[in-house]
Amino acid sequence: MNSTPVREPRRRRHGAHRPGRAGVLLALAVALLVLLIVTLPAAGGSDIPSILPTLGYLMLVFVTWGMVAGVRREPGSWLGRRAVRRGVVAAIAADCVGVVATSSPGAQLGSATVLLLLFLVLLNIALGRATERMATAPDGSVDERQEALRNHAHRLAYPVFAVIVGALLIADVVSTQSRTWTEHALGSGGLLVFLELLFVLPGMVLAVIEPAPPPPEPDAPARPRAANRQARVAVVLVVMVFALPFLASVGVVVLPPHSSAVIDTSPPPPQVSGTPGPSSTGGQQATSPQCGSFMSTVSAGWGVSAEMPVFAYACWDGHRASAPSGNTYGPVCWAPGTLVAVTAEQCTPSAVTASDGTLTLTWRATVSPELLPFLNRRVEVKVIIDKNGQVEVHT
Amino acid sequence: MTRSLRRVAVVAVAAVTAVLASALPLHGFGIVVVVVLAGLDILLLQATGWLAFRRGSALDERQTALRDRAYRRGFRLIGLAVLLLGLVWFVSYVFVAQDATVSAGAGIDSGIAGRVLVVAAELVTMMATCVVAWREDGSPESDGVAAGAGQGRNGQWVAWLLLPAIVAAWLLAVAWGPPQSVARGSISIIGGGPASGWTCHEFGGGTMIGAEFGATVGLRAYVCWDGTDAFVWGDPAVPPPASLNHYFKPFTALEFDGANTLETGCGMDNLSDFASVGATTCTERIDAGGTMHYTVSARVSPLPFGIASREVSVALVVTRTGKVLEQP
Repeated sequence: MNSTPVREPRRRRHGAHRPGRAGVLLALAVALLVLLIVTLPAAGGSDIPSILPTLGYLMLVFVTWGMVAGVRREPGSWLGRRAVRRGVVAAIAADCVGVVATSSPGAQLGSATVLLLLFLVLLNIALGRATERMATAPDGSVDERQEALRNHAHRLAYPVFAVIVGALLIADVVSTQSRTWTEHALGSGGLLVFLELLFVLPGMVLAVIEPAPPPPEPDAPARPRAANRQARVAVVLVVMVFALPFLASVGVVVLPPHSSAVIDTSPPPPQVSGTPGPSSTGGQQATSPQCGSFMSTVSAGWGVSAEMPVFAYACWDGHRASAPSGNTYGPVCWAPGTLVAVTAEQCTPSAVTASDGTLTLTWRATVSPELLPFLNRRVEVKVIIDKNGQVEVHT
Repeated sequence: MTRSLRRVAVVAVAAVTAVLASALPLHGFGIVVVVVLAGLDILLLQATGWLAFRRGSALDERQTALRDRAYRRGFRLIGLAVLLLGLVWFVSYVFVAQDATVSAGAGIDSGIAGRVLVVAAELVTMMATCVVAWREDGSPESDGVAAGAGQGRNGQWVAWLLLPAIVAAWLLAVAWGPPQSVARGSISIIGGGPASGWTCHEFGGGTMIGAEFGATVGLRAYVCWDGTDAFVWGDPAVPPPASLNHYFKPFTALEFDGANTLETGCGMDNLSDFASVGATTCTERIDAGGTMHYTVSARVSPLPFGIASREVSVALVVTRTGKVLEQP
């Protein structure tokens, strides 16, 4: 006779599954990776002030991560509610679609994709909290009911994963067009979504199928006040993390463009006279014309922003400023910004000398936040050089 | 089948999958590897009583628990397998590419190779069954496999029909399936030619037979034009037109035979994992108007002795002004 021993129900570990050392290292690695991806292209390697908003946002994301991870899911808490769990799953699915849709076939991630990936990280944390990381918990920390539930979740997730992979495989075979589509889908963002599904899909299924928790008993002890406070702070931080990019996107349209200080990039005066050249910005009146070149950076928005390096050169003689003879101004366009699309209307500046001898160089472009593409703003950058070589940048 | 034999079969599946995932050339015998893999899969499926694919209503509580646990472990193992197979590919690629001056197939973009598709399908469909077969925990459910294996034994031979079906489908696709065009690969050289007045552009592409499970005849040509003629540059086997003789004075034979030879190569980008590609010829014809007609022809053979083989041609036509009239 074959008797099956009955496994003793294991006592479930109290509290949340704390992330282990591997989890912390993974978090640090992801943070470093995201930091490099986000900051290096945007900063051009050395422009620290321009990456401060991004760094600040990243810090906020990780503080939020830590805060959300520290909130204990209590019976009846909002994160444990079935509707909330399913909402998180739907948000993850939508985010994955967005990552694939916004990523380009190459290895470089666009700013919108990076933002969606950051959201994905947060949503994954929320999912982990909502399911108490039951899908990946060690065997010893789940009871029999939970083990059966998570095994069943994996069983259900498997065909879903197989269908997604199978669709990609079939698309790679059917025709040249579908193969091209597959390649696009499996670009940088698609690969990350594949990894997301590989590691998180069972947790998503678990969040959907897990029964609703029983309502808290009326005579149950109230949650500690500190726990309530932490949960509220976590909610506020999550809202901030999601809202800030949109607020900053509005800022592109609302905030006035600003320019950095004008830098005189003129070469030092030559020792040999008779050549057009160099000058100071000081505007000393001289008999022979003085020439100079200047540089500034115009920015629209803060955090979510676009920048345009402005280069101008001119000659002046105390009566009027003008473009150096024999020279024409080359095109200078707005650089692709962080979450900002730029439509350049006039990259090569128009140069007009007014009756008072002031030379005005004008660039025009339209900036539009990628997150709110229905908003846009026309930006006109004017560099005004007066007859004495004084330079101002107007936006 | 005993647990030891089942484990041997699982190890064999892993080894064959690793061969497919590696960069080792298959020389047209990929279908043999696939059939072997499918045979091992059928063995494992029968040894486990198709437990991973049976409906829940046909299983008792113990079998359901065993199956679901296998799926959980299998899901985790897929991630590990992807990493390990990626490592296998990298190591084998370094090994294979050691002597190669240029990577084969780099001029064309043929998508996910058929052998990788098989690996992906294998991981997704068979991992749970492999876990059931391995059953490393030796838990009290050990009779779950045996119980499943005993069911439906009468119809076991039906599964083996899958093997001739795979071969037939593959043969059908390679011998009669519509060819698919293959886009240009990652190599991209555009710019001036070796002489002033020349403009040059690298063209790549090809024709795929058997939709990733056959072979690809590739074309990679560095084409220059000078307003009088368009011509292929850089392939010693395809000499430039006589009208260009005056250009060659500044160039040494070494320059002609050396650096640029990598940019045009006859048969360099052929891919032949599941069918052999032979008799590759590359011909250039420049008509009276200076238009270049460059054609790569090859014979794709799924079976030995040229059985069911088909001729494949890839054409590139460029005018003397650089206008492309035809390309893969």
